[in-house]
Formats: sequence, C-alpha cells, structure tokens
Amino acid sequence: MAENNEVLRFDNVTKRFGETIALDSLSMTLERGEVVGLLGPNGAGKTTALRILLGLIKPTEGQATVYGFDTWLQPVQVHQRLAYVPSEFNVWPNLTGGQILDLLGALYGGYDPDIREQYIERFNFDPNKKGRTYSKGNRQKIALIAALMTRADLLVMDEPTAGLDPLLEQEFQTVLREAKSRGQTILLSSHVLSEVEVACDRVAILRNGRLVEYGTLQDLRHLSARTVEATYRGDPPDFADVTGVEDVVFENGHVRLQVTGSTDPLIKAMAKSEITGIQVREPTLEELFHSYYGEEPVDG
Amino acid sequence: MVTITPLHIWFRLLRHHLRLLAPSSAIWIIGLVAVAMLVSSAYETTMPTEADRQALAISVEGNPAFEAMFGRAISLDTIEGFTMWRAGGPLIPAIVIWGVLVGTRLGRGEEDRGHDELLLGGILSRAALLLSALAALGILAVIYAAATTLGLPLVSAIGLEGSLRFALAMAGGFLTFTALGTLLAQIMPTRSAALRAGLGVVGITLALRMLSVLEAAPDWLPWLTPFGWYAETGTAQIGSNLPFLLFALTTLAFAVGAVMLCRERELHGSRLVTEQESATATRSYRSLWAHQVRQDGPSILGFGAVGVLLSLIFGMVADEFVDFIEGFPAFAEILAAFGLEDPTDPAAYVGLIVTVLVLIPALFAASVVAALRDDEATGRLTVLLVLPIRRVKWLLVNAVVAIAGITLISLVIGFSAMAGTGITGTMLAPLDALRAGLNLIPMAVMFTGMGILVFGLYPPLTGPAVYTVLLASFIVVMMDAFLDIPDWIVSLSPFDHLALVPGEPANLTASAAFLLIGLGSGIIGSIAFRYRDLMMD
Repeated sequence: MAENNEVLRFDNVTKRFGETIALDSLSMTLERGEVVGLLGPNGAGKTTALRILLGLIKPTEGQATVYGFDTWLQPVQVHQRLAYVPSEFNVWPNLTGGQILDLLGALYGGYDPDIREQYIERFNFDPNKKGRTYSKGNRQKIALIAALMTRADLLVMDEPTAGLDPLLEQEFQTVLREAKSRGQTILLSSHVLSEVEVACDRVAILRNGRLVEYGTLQDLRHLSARTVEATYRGDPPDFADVTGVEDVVFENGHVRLQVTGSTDPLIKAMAKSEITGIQVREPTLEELFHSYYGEEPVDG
Repeated sequence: MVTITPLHIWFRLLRHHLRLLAPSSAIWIIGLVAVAMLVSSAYETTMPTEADRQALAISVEGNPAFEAMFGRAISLDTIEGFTMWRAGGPLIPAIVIWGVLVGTRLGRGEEDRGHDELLLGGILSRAALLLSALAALGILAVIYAAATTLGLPLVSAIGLEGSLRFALAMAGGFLTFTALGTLLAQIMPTRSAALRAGLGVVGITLALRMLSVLEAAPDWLPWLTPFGWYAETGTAQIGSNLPFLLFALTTLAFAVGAVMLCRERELHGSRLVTEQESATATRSYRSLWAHQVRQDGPSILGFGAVGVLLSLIFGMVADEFVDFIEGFPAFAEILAAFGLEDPTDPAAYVGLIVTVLVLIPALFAASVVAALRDDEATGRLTVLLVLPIRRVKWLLVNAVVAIAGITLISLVIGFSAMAGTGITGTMLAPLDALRAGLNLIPMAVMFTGMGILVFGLYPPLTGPAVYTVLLASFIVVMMDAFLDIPDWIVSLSPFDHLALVPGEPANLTASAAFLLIGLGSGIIGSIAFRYRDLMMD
C-alpha cells in the first residue's frame, strides 16, 4: 500500500493491439484530492489508459497502480477504492433503474440509501422504470448516481456528461466540486473542455498514445502562447526579431499576436511606437488544446 | 461529383448484412446440404430392393413413435419421400433454429450492440434497414435451396424436381422462422430474449407436430405448424403444394409485421413494456447470485416448459410404439442403431425419447454461454467487473446458475416422460424417471464448460461455436441410424455415448468423461478469461 498521497500511477505503460500502439510509455501520477482532466482526440489512448487503470486490459509493458495495488494483478483491491462512470452505460433491460442502483451499490460493498436518494433527486431521475425504457441521458444518470453514492476514494469518469442536458451538466459541476471538497480524487476524461477547465486542477494531454503535456492549467498557460491585442497610432510597431512573438496580424491600427515566454522583449518593442491600448489574454483550454493538435478537429 | 442514391446505399447495406452472416452461414449451408446428400445417397445402398422399400414404408408410415420423432412419413418407398422424411425430419428443426438465430441477430443483435445507430445516422430509415436484413436472409435461403437442389442429384437417383421440392420445403421452414425471428426481435426487449422466445416457439411447434401423429389428434392439427406443412409437402405424386403457399404467406405476414412494428418502436425499445408494468418491479437484487438467477430464471422456465411439453407427448405415445414394434420385429434392427436393444420395453422407449430431449438442456446451456459474450460485447460486464468482483467468481456464478438450470430442466423432462407414459397406462417408477433426468445433466454441463472455454479463448466465437458443435453432434447421431457414417466420426458426438436410461444402465464412464471435459474446459476457459483483455464490440 502506498504510504504517501499518491493515488494512482502509470509507470511507463505501453499497450499494443497487434501492430497498433494504443498507449506509448505513459507515465503520470495523481495525488489524493486532485481532479485531473484527461484530454485528447479520438485514438489518442484515453480509453485505453482508463481500461488499463480499471484492470480490464493488460498493459503490454509497464505497470499501473492504484493506491499501490497493481491494476492487472490485484483488480479487486483496486476496485474496492474506486468507482467508474463509463461513457455509455448499457443497462440490464429487465431491471428498473432502482434495482440496478441497488445491485451495483450492494456489489460495491454497500452505500448510504439517503445519499442515493439525494442524487436521484438532484439528477431528476425516475428509478421506477425498466432499463430498456431509459434514454441515453437517463442511463448515464444511473452510472453517475451509482458511482457517486459509493463515496469511493477515486472516481474514474469517461465522458460522464455524455447525453446529459445543460442544466444537469451544471449540477454535475457542483457535484464534482463537492466530491473534491470531500477529498475524493477524480480522473476525468472529457471532450467538454469548458468542463475540464472549470473542474480540473491538472490536465493531461494525450496524442497518438503519448502524454504530450501534464500540468496545472497555469503551467500549461505559462508554457503556451498568450494572445496580445493592441491599438496604436502612427507607424506600426516592428516585431521582427522580437523573441517569442509570432502570428502577428495588423489591421487598421490594431495588432494581434501570440507571445510565448517572457513578455519583456515584446513590451520593449511596443514602447518604440505610440500604443493607445493593450490587452493580454491567457489562452483558454480550447486554445491550448488546439495549439497541441494544430488543425486537428476537437472531437466530441 | 459522384451522386449516391438511396438505392445504392441500400445495396451497400445489403452487402454489409450478407458479409455479417457469411462465415457462420457458410458452415450451416455446407453442413445441411452435406447431411441431406449423405442421406439421399444412402437410400439405394441401405434399401436396394423394392421389397426393402415397401417394408420400410409399411413399417414407418403411420407409426406414431417414429412420426413423432421425425414427422409424418409419406412415400418412403421412393427416394423423394425417403429424403423428405429421413433427411428432412431431423434437419428441419435444425434449419429453423438457424433461421431464428440469424433472424434475431439481424433483427435486433446489431441494434443491441449499438451498430445500427451508426447506420441509421444516414438517410436510410429503420424500415429500410430491416428490409435489407430480410433481403439478406432471403438470399441465404436461395443459396441454400440452390445448393441442395443441385447437390442431391449428384449423389443419388433423386430427380431435379424431387430435389427442388425438398429444398423449397426446407427453405420455406427456414424463411418462416427467420421472419418470425425478426418479428420477435421487434417485440422482445433484447436479442437474447427474442432468441429464447423464438426457440420456445420452435419447441412448442415441434410438440404440436408430435401431437398431430397421435390417433386421437384431429386431421387439421398438422396444418397448424410449419413442421406440419413441411411434412405435408410430401412428394410430387403424393403431397400437397398448399404448404408452399402457406410458407410464403406466413413469411410475408411476419416480415410485414416486423417492418410495421420496427417503424413504431423506439430504438432499443420493446413492444412488451408499459409504464404500468415498469412500476411494479420493486424487488431488489443485491448479490451476484440473485442477479444471475433473475437473468437466467425466465429462460430456465421457458426451456423447462418446452421440455415438459415434449416429454409428456413422447411419453403418451409409448404404448402405441410398443404395440407397433411387437407387430414388426424386423424393425428392431433399425432401432438397435439408436441403442434400443429391446424396443418392446417401455423403459427403453422412455430412455430413447429422454435421450433425444437432452437437446433441450444442452440448448439452454448454449444460450447461457452465448449470453456471457453478449454481456461482454455490450459493456454490461465492464460495469460489473469494475466493482470488487473477481472475474472468475462472476464466471463461476454464471456456471453454477446454468448447471442448476440444466438440472432442473433435465429432471422435469424425466418426470414429465414418466407422467406421459402414466397417462396412457404404462407407469414408470419415479426412481427410473429420476435416473433418466439425471442422465442428461453431464452432457449439458459439458457444453457449458466447452462454451466457457471458447469464451475464455476467443469470445466472439462463443455462441456460433457452441450452437454449431451441439447441433452437428446431434445430427450425426440422428443420421447414423440409417447411414453408414464411419464409427470414429459418430463416436466424436457426445450423443453417441449417452445411455438410454432407464432402459439400460447409465454409462457412468461417459457421464464422468462429460463432467471431466466440462470441468476441465471450464477451468481452462476461466483461467484464460482471467488473463485476457475484455473485448467490447
């Protein structure tokens, strides 16, 4: 059992499916109480990483651990500490939502019925219908309630809000904050970048099975380009050979550019012109995401 | 710019459906045609003289026990009649089971696995999708009928007309149950439920076919089921063409019904569910055991009910069978091929019929292991296995509930046969009924274990492999009574090693071997499952 605050660890984990490398030497850790977002386009390796973490598939190389337990060799010990929300939940068609919640809660090892009722109410869920009659959104509510009512130490969520309406997505954000305040650790794979931006302390970005960035949003922003917009009178400022400046666009006394690293050379270059206004904006997560994937579309 | 019309897309869809069915259908068609060719070719060697043929016709036609088993016999003194009865008798249930399997697969299986949603994202409607599935199934029937029509004359003296008649009658049965499968797929909540309901209909209609050969049965009874229609097609000389019309109309009615229902039904929805029904389900299932009993319970009851019905009917014709055999001692030789040393002994007859009915618990076992793969492919298994549940425990719970179901079904078959014989006066001792039932358990357990083995090693093959091995082994033994199939082939079939309890002592060696193979396969399958990746669709 890990004695420190480390909740999960991917240690040089590689997964191959035949010739295809789905995950390539992934190494990352999560600390207790952290909310970490896992981002990446389709085929980036997010689901493979989660399935390895859940002990559903075996790493070809390396090791994944949760609370010090090997996810492949000791899955039961791992599963006693985590709850999982899949991106799509195929329920048993002949059981009601309530029966499914009871079953999953009991098989987890127990749950507080009052908490279950609270979530049923908050997610506006009707537990008396047969599984086959639920819409995708309602099936997703079952998965969410089942995971949340266990109060598991670690919540692993794979696109948990898929199918939920905007009001419930907002409720989900509140629920995430509450879980974090209780000290629960959350690994959230999502395509909803705004959701990750609001909820997550750290973000891991995968591309072609490799971890290309892992850090706090602040770290990522610091490493990434900020957007600078300025208005000027007279001759336009000269940004040629200014360190860190790129993508400069002049238009009718207005300039827009990207700057990476220190802004000092940029400010010195601007000082040579008559600047009437300036605005520096840190990149949104979406802009960060695009900067890592270039022209690749954000799927979702 | 290339313009793709809806018709082009529909044909692409049809190709897609055919591609889905191709691997397993090739095996089914080759198997069905080969068996029919073997039987037809054996006609002249096993009955070389006119006298032999007359003797066979006199012995079998009108014999309730034999007609209960293989359907009504017509013109057995001709190769056409012989092929219809001897080849078609056991093959017609097999081909309709195949029909239900493929009908429910295209009618619902693809939808359950989420594949249809992708296809429906285009411009094609759900009705177009189902019509493509039906067309693909129709093409399978045409391929089967063509292969049979052309194949039989190559190896026997049967003419093209007789061959075509046999092929069309078989294809008619296939199409009727295929269309039924697609219809049930619109009514039931899942493919698995539709498949089980379809197999239930097969069992009930088979029972009606059996009932129809009883002396007391009304003349119209054979016309009530597709099995009866098949038999009534007979030969061109003595037979009716009306069944072909009935096959066509019923297939059309089922297909139209399926298309209409699919247009009204929500994706993943069911015609059987109402809000009122939903609100009544309040019982909780708080353990893996309770959950599995809940999942398999309806199926156990369904297979059990079919077993009760069939063994009751078989039991009720025991006296007629014995009387008949006493009048035709020469027939004992043919029966000896089934292992029936003293056919005038009612206990031996009960042993024979109960042994044939082992197919019911074995089919139940196959349906349970096929459902394992279904759970994995649809992701329901993922939801369970991310809980603190060992994979092997989950598999063990499934196996134990399956074995409990097999035991229950086997025992009710034994006791129902006893009750059936009791109704007509020959009372079987309860201990004999118990022994007859217990004798069926090891073989079905073996199929469960073999299914788990395939599930552990290569899950996508679980259902197809178990159903194919089960039905092929059954057909080989059924055919062996009239064909000179090499002993080593017959001995590969587990049915060949099943003692006709209570007519003869149990083959304890075979039973122990069944159990050991089942246990060994189950253990190897469980270990393989523990150490393989979970594979969703």
